[in-house]
Amino acid sequence: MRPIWIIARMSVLENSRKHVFHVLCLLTLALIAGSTLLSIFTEGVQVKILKDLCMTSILFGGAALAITLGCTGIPNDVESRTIYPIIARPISRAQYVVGKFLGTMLTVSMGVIAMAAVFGVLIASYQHTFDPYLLLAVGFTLIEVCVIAAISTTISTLASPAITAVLTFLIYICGSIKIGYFGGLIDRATSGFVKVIYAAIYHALPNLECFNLKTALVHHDYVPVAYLAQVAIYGLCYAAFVLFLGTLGFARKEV
Amino acid sequence: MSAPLSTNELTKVYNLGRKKGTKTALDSLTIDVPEGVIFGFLGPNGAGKTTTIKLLLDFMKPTRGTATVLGRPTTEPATRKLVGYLPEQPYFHKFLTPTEVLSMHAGFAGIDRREIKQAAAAALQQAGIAQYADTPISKLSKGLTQRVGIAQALIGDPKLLILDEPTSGLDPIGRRHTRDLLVELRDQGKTVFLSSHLLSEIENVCDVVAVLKAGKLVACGPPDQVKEQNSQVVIQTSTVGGDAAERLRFAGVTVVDDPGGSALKFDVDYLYRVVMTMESMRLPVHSVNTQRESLEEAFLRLAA
Amino acid sequence: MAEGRERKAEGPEGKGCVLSSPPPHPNPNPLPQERGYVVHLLGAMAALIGLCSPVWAHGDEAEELGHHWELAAYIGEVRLQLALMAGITCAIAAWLLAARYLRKRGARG
Repeated sequence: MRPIWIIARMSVLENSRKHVFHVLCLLTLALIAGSTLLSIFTEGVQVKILKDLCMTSILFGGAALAITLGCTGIPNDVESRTIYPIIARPISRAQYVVGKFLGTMLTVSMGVIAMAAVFGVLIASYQHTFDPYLLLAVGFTLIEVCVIAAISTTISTLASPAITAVLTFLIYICGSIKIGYFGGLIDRATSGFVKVIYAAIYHALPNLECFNLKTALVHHDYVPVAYLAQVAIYGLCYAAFVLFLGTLGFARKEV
Repeated sequence: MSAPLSTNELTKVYNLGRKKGTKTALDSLTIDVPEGVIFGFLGPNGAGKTTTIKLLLDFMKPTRGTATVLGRPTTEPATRKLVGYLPEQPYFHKFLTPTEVLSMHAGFAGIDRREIKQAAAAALQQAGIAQYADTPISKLSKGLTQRVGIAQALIGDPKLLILDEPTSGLDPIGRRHTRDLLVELRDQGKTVFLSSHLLSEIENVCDVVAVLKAGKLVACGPPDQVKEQNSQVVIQTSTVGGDAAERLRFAGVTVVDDPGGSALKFDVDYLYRVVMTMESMRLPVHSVNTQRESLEEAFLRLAA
Repeated sequence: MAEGRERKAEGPEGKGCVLSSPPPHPNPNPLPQERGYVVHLLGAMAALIGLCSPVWAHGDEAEELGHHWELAAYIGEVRLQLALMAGITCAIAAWLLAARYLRKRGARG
């Protein structure tokens, strides 16, 4: 475990110095702050729109951070050859990949928590009270971002940063609209072989919409605890599974 | 006791695609590096030296053959616990200081948290850059970064050191310091596997050398064994020309004209014959010298 | 394009000789450009925010939007994927163990 933490710490120090991290965090914070200018609506509606817009911004900001930091972490090390002294140590390739993922996730979490803190202060200034649904929504956003970071890190073990970014972004989009838009495609397929291919892709895509508790935050809807527990376990297991595949792929990669 | 480093028919073939076919980077390399020696690994560019090192450290898998490091297969990460590696032109994260780099590697090597600072300071002292301990890597020159790499390889008290061009980028003082350090490590009982192009340095420090050419091992043994056994004799005499030069060439002599006369070069085995020939031609002897083949000449003979 | 600056210098015997400076060193540590990704991602983000209809619908229909915890398809898919992941992980683990066992047997015998 110790090597994983050392690599994660190094990764956090490296990522937090990147321009893209600061730009994305500042941009999202600007979006959050800018959404307070929507004063054309009545106060009740304005708070709802504020919550909706800010949560969407936090989600997109977190996803963008996870994709950009995840897709460059390992390829940067390989291209700059800083990986050689590290993997010459008694560290397995799996420990290295997990350490890099953890570093990426910790950096993204720092950004998301900062955005959520600003958001929380904003909401508290409108509602004059702390909204506990905020913790739930941000918590599950972090799990969603964790899944995206795991996908980005895994693809980066085999592909270039550009291909990783594009693929992860596509998976993110398709995963967010999976059940709503692609659910009926399998039944509409005519050939048995095409049906199998559709089904394989459909069930491989992450079910990202179930982490979206924005509506619950906006309208204070009750979400069953059993559902939350299952979705949380699903998110963490999906991230772990994807990383497991990534470690298998990276173990065979020649550096 | 197993050799610190051993390979058996180690082969690496790269697949370059359907049109370009395959490239054999390493062809059935079999070597046994004895314990407590400095083993020099030589070869021209593209001979397969770095490929060999990458196979030993499990950066890539061999196509065929096996390798063991400190008696264990190279595929196990635990094998590298007592191995120190210096890559050619080491790179570290620019924002770190040498102390932070070494602390990180001390953690990887399993050194206790309370002893990390001490171990890092000792390694920097050994590498001769203690005064730059807290200077960011981005502000260090290439030579100083190389020394950080050497310090990094020494952390954790490794039994086997694999060094790829350790004196690259170092000034003459740094090279001398590194040579002395390698001898000191050997005297402590460590094994040093050294890949270098600087043949004069290899000749000065190595106990055993191996020469690689196009992926194949062409020579292996102590430097004196690798160099040609026979000495060359050089006799300076007056200018030799015409029939006399022909007679001497027939006797196995190379006649080289220089400003002072002629230099007669031949194997020491032909000494008696040549002297007799010179006496019959009444050629004077101005001076007699012997020349042994240098490692560079042996290298050019074997690998060029 | 000229590789370096060229300047004339006077050599011995008054003959001109052209000296050229070496070209600037290429960056030995070229790293991928991240800023391109940021621009593309920001553009995509803006398009998506615009396309997100739930963001703009804040009348009574909002109650019907986004309640995925009440739809069986979502939790069903979550459970199916958990089962698939468990199955695939077990299959891969079994395959790796079998491969390791055969390798050890081959090394011994």
